[in-house]
Amino acid sequence: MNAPLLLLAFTLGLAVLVAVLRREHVVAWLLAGIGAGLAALLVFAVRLDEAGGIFGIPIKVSGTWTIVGRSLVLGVSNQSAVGLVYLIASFLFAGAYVARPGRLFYAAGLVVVGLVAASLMVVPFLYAAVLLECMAVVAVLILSPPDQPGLRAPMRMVVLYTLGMIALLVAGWQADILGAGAAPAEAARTATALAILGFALLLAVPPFHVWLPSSAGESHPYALAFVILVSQAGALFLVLRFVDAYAWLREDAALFAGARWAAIGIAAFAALWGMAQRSLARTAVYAVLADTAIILLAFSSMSAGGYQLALGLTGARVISLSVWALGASVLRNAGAGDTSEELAGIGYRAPLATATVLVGLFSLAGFPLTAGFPGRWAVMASGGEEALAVVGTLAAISLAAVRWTSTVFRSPREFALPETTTLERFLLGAGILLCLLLGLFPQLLYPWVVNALSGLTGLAGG
Amino acid sequence: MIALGGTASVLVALAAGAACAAAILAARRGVMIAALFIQFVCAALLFSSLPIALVIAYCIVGACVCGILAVTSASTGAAGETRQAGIPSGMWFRLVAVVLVALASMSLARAAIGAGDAAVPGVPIGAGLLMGLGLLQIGLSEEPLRVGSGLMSVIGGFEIGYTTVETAIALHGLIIGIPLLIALVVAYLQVLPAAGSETVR
Repeated sequence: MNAPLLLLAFTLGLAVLVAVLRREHVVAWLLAGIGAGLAALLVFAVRLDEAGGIFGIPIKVSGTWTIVGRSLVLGVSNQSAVGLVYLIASFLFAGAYVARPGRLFYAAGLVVVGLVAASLMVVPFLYAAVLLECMAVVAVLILSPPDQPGLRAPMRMVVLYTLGMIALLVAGWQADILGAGAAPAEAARTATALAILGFALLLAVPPFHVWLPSSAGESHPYALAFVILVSQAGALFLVLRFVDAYAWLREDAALFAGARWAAIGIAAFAALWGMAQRSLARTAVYAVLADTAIILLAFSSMSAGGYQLALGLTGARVISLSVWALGASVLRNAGAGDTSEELAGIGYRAPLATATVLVGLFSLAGFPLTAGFPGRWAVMASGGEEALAVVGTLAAISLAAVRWTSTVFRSPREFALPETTTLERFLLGAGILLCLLLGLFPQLLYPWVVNALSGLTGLAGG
Repeated sequence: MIALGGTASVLVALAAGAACAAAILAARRGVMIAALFIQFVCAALLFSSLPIALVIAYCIVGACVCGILAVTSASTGAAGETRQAGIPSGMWFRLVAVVLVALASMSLARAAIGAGDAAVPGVPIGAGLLMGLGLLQIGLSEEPLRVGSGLMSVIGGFEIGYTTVETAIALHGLIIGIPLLIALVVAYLQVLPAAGSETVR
């Protein structure tokens, strides 16, 4: 038995089963949520390449699956990362009961998670670029559900991921020529430039973010949140593996200085555009871009602590964005709309969903006492331009959130929204509590997420 | 492994470029899909260092892709065409753009790939033409069918160049399979309006 084959076969089998049962919402929801959670648990708990047994039957689970001369490896270097991706998926599937992002969400979501997990396990890791491209193609089914015709944004995402894949494959070829050790900066210039381009495309860094605002205007908020969180987690782990593998990249101080200034530029752009939006979904998308800038700032510190912080911020984003998306989905499903005109006074009609949206948005902004704040506080602690960028984005996105607060509590419009069920109220309330709890006790989240870096010896060692 | 001579490879590369240009200029979807198939075959002939099985597999993928796109276009009743407002779409504009991009991408690709000893003369020309014209097609339209066709051209062009530097069969197998996934997604996006109206009913 080998773990990668078991894991991927289980995920694919579950996806097929969920696709067959897609019209039975509760069954599909339970299968996807519990299945992804179970997969996460197994990945965290499995003892690889060690003799063990179940009910007296001797079993040894190998961590390597060789296929067409290449390997998928699950081991100490990636076990936490793979488990984390499944855990994120399970968490998001749980909220989908209320969000209802479309019939294909669970099945396509499981395939997407399987592909991201495969991208984390594949050796050589450059194959991950091709698997992430496949993931982007499958994600079209999530962003553009069958009941929503003619969306342009998903194809834009596929185009950008294709270009990213090409850039990374060429960068990988150049990197193989240079080798894993130190290399002269002059010789490494082309590979570095191509790697930066590829990662910018995969991480949707401006100006390659165009699919995000378009999707925000068209796709279901929860579907968009799922695709952003899972795809960017995969892309971030690929960045870390790439940097971990090549010393000439890891030790290039100019590259990290460039990343810091790029992050400050992205933060300024996202903060300004975030404040100017009249669409709730687009405000959240620019808040996500601002968050990406903060993650990049943490990454650019060129230290093990900075890489860990980048991962921790990614974990906090999962909570913030999914809580926002949960509330926004409830409002959208009730026919409330997305613009400031349509949402004026909605706070009186759907107070819990509105509160969830606002708490999620404040948390994305990194407002104190929310899940997004502790990571920003740590980035700010280094002082200098980083602190200014963090304070600037925090203030700008918080200001946008305050403006939305004033909009949703403007004099109420005369319309009725459907009553929320007990389970909906429970999940919305749990989302708000989670955001606040992790803001007060970040130690509940960060050690889990940060552990994903432990297998990358080049980075973990500093 | 297919070993084309210098002149033959250049002719195949130019045929691939001409097919890609035809896909951009064609107003009818049927012509565009036929041109796409020619691109697949020409690109496969330029996969200079791949085993013959993968070359044949790429041709089969091309046939499947074009079959899927043709059937979907026919079934959605949109075999005719379709240019979007807001994007320059006049024939002369597209013709000039095709010529300029073809010349620029050929010279760029020859500078980038042509320096390699192993590359036959047609490889940089074919890779450059398909990637450049594919990107042009993506830029000129937002319609899924045309964007998908452009993407497949870009991937085909990239693969022509990439076969000269990367020998891993598994990786090429994965890349060769991507157009099939893209075709399925394009078909899905094309049939969506019908599904949407059904839901409304």
